[in-house]
Amino acid sequence: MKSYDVVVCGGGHAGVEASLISLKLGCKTALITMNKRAIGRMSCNPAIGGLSKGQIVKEMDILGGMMGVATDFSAIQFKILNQSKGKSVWSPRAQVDKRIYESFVLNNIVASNLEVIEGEVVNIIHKNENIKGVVLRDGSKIKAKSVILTCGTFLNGLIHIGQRKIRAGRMGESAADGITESLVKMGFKSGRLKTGTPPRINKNSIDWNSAKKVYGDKIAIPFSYRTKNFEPANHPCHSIYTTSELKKIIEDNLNLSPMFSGDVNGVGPRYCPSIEDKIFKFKHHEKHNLFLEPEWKNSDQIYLNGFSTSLPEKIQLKALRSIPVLKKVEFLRPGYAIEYDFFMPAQLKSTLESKKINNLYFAGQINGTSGYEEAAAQGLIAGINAANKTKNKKPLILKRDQAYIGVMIDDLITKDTLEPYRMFTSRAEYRILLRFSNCHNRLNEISKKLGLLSSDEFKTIDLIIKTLSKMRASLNTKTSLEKINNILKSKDDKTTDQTIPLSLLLKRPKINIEDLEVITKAKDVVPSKIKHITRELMIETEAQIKYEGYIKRQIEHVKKMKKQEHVKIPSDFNFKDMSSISNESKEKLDFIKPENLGQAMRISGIKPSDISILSVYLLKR
Amino acid sequence: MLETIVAPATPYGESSIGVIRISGLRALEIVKTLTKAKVFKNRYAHYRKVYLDNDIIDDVIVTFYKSPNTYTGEDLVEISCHGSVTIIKTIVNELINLGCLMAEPGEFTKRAFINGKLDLLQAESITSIIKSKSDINLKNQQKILSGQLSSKLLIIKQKLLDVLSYFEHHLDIDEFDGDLEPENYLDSLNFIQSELKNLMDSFSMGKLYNDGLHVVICGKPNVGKSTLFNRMLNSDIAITSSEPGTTRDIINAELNINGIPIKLFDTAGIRNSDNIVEKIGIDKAKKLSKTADLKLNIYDKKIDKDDDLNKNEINIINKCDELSEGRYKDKLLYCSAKNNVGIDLIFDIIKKKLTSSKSTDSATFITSSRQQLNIKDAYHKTGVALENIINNNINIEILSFELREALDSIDLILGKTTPDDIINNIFNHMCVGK
Repeated sequence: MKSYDVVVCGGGHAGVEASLISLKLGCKTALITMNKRAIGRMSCNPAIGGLSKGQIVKEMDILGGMMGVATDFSAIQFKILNQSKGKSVWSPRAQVDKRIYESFVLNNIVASNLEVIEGEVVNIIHKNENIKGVVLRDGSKIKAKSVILTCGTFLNGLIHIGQRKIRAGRMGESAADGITESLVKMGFKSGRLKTGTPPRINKNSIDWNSAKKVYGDKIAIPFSYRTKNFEPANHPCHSIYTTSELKKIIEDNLNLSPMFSGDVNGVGPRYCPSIEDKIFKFKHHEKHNLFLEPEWKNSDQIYLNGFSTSLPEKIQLKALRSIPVLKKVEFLRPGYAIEYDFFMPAQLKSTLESKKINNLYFAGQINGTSGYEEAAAQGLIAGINAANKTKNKKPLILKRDQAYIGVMIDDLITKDTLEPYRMFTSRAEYRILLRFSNCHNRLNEISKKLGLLSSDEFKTIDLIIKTLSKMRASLNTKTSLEKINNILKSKDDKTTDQTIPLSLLLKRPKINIEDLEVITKAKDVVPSKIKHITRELMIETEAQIKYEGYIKRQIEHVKKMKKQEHVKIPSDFNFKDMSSISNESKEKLDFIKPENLGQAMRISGIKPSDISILSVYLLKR
Repeated sequence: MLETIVAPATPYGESSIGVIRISGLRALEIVKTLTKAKVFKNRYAHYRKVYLDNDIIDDVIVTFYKSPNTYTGEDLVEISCHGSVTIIKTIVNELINLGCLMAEPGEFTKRAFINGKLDLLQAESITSIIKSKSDINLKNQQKILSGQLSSKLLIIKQKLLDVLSYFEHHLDIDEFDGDLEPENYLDSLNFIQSELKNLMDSFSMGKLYNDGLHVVICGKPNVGKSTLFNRMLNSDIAITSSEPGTTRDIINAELNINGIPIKLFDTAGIRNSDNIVEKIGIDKAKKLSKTADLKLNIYDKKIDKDDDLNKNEINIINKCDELSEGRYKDKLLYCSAKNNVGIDLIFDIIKKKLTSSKSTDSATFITSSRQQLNIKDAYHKTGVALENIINNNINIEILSFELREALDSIDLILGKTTPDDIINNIFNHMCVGK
């Protein structure tokens, strides 16, 4: 019988990160997938990053994840989102060539010497509370010290297109059964969720001339600090709008959408909603923005971003053909909804290990999340923790003030999952501290301790951090009054009668670091090795200066909250023994078994008085 | 399990009755030993004797309250004994000998809190009830206990959440998904500001009801201040004579107007004096009149200078019965303290002054400085956000930052994110026995 330290079940984004990092940390690792060629597949949109997700990719990059490197390699355009807002909430996004992305991932897997087993896991073996391994469809057993489940949407997957139902994990790939039943038997609670994907349309059926071109940023910022020879492409996407005729067609046919006929039991995401959802919920919006995104360079297959749907193919076509640009549109594949099993993430510890079975980890969509980035980040954390546990090392638990990844996992294990969980800027209360441009400051030390990158890579990051402080210092110099006032005048800002350091100038709301470029030497401090990320360094420098006061306030707040975070709840604490707490709260606490008071506070439905009582009980112990 | 605790529940000092409270699992068992009696029916008053060794020390009434329907949520016994300091001390000591622990300040309420009997706001309110002196204050405390302040704050919180969600939503969508229209939220923010302001203002009002209103009678010597003082109190506390400068030190007494506790001060008449004792009295009077909530300026027959009055001043012309007809002017307040003429008018005008700015009947007010601090903070931060929007200085991440912190402050009052130190702080401020 084959035997491994860590066995990862599923070759999607979570599985890839989990298995590669476990291997990197020196564990004998195997990746089990139903289809080798589908490893790292981008089953939905041809893009990585976006609001708050861009931060996740950059955080992963410092922690040894590969998503950022793969994105830089395969991107066809880069764009920072939220540029109309302050620099603390900017997020990078890249449009990627799916084929290049997938082959890059596969090549890396091959090069890493990771053992890839093709097969379908149908059962999980455990003895009492300890994991032992997995059983494949052909009956073969694989022994493992740790198992990470990254099964995505494949567990009892059911595709809906109008009234048609197809059992599948993804269009054209079969679903996986057996695992759910095996886990339920072990006492895990499961649920059903729904997510959708838009139609893929034939490039040649589109009237391109009347669609508006949308390019990426002129100066691209890479996701990874490990990317060398960064030569970003900038191919356009196209933007179009829905029509009032389309609105009417969809309204008339809502009853044919499984969403509305009640055929889909799973609950769909509130954000990233289907087009029928958008039209139903935002009745006052006459039109919605759609994007035509190539799935790869010169691709015939165009991804229709914004038109996720489960309506019958006929209706999808009819509706879209009401848009002039899509008058003659033809599908390569209609939009569809997929319904799948997930496991309540509240059954996990903050390491993503299950509370019930030691060394069994869950990561990705199986935890009820949606999105490549969310899945990959969980895979990475589960991989690190599974590997570290087999080596008796400390686990990696990121805090809410340290990373979006920390916010996500904390949310997952404390909140009820009623819809697919997607990351949002608004979920992070300490967002001003969690900038895309300061991931190195936040996570470098942690990564070093765990040895998640090579010493060369750490050297680059150290260089970046050093350069940033030089850049900041360069702004402390004073410049001639005339030059300063010229800038102020050009921005319609009040002029000054005495010269001030540029850093003070930057604190004015109207002044950005780009405005100072003509008079600073800030750019000159960047060594050639990292010249290609100069723009990111400038953004970070401005953010540090502009938000200085807010950053301080937020750090104070974090300190206050830390107090609660530090009140540990012993693992043998019996929540059911507490008097004067409602039974509902008791059951909730008992199910989730929070690890500390801070977590307990964030559990949905737990009342303040419950926490007060809990804290008094903890004091008593 | 928690220890059984004991403490006197009535203030220290001589009184006709003293009450001792015992709470905890062993409360009844210990009292049985103390009284050498076996039967105590739930919620019945029993006449019993308290023994020290074999000597009877007092005749008492013992009431046993069975958990969980008690103040603390635990078994509770109240012993009403005679109100001598020695007797109370002896009984409490004996209870401690029998296994009780002396209660910490606020521990009874803390236990009520632990046992789910009170929420945080209610607990704070209890401390005020103990100190509470007047009917209206009691009513206000009861309002807090029934959650009126909570519900008012919940309305503010909901509004704030709405505004915050709008801005945070815009952090979650990229530019092309919709235009930002912060002006639409100006009304909501203005509403939040004015509601918070009302609550802030109510703090001084709340304090007023708790601590009482200081009313100072002042004026030149021998205009009849002390006579008025006595008349208002219906007593002879202050010495009166026709000799100017009779009152040299400040005298005060408490009275109650419309449920509002009043501390009335009689002061030395203000004049140039060579007498050192009188001079000190005059200085004191001057100082006091500066900090007074209400100043009654007493004049003898006529006002010599018609100064602009501050809001907290009333001019009163005393000895009106010595005036000849036709010398009365409209708008002035005339009285004769000596002959009890016009005193009702003075009371009326004091009431009016007290209630003019705020409605005392329906308003909810805050009484603790912790609440005041948090409301102020929320007010300040929503104010910064509002100002930014008005000045068209729209940085969503900053707006949402300020609004989120404002929300945190309100949550602190509602008890959502109650850090332990706050809980401890609240209970530490309670007196022993509660």
